[in-house]
Amino acid sequence: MSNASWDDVVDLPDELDDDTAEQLYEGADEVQDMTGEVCPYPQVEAKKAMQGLEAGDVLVQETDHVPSTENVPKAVSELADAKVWKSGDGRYRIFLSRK
Amino acid sequence: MVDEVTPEDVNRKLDDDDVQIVDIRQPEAFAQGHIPGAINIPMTELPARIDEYDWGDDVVVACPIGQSSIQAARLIGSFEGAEADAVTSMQGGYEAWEYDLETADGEGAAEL
Repeated sequence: MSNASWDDVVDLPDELDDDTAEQLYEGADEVQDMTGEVCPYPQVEAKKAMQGLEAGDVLVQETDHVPSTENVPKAVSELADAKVWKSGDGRYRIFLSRK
Repeated sequence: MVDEVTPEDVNRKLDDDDVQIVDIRQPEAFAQGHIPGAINIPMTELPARIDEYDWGDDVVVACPIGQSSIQAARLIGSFEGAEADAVTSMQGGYEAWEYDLETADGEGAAEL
């Protein structure tokens, strides 16, 4: 069995601490469950959602696919700033703040 | 850092027997049409299956839009059985591929 891991090769955005992530999550304007989804669907959905948000609004994508934490922020980098929260058990929340 | 190669370069490389094309899309998409000679290792399976292959001197990773292939190329390049410099990512992914495709039965496919 290989020891290769996505965690070692993905450039994560800045990480949020648990409390900040929870606060942001509760106040999020839209949450997308992308569990089990891979490229390019999460990027496409993030872009679509961004079109309907206003400056300062927050979109959260929940994912279990580490590469999405790099690819989704990259896909909407002109529209949103990204931060990520790691649960510690393989789930991630990508927080995208509309510019 | 992963180098990116254009679809044009990849198409030219197909005449070279040494190139390994790794398609990380889902099997359904692969079956509908893929770069001739490509092997299919879905992205989600790549970490567990990376040691199943003998990685050569010229590996190109292809994905739908050329983003996840960058991380997949990093992953393969970080594996002890591969050379980091030997692994590249196809710029623009299948969205940018304008050349012939091969289907699951080895026949050509007109387009995706």
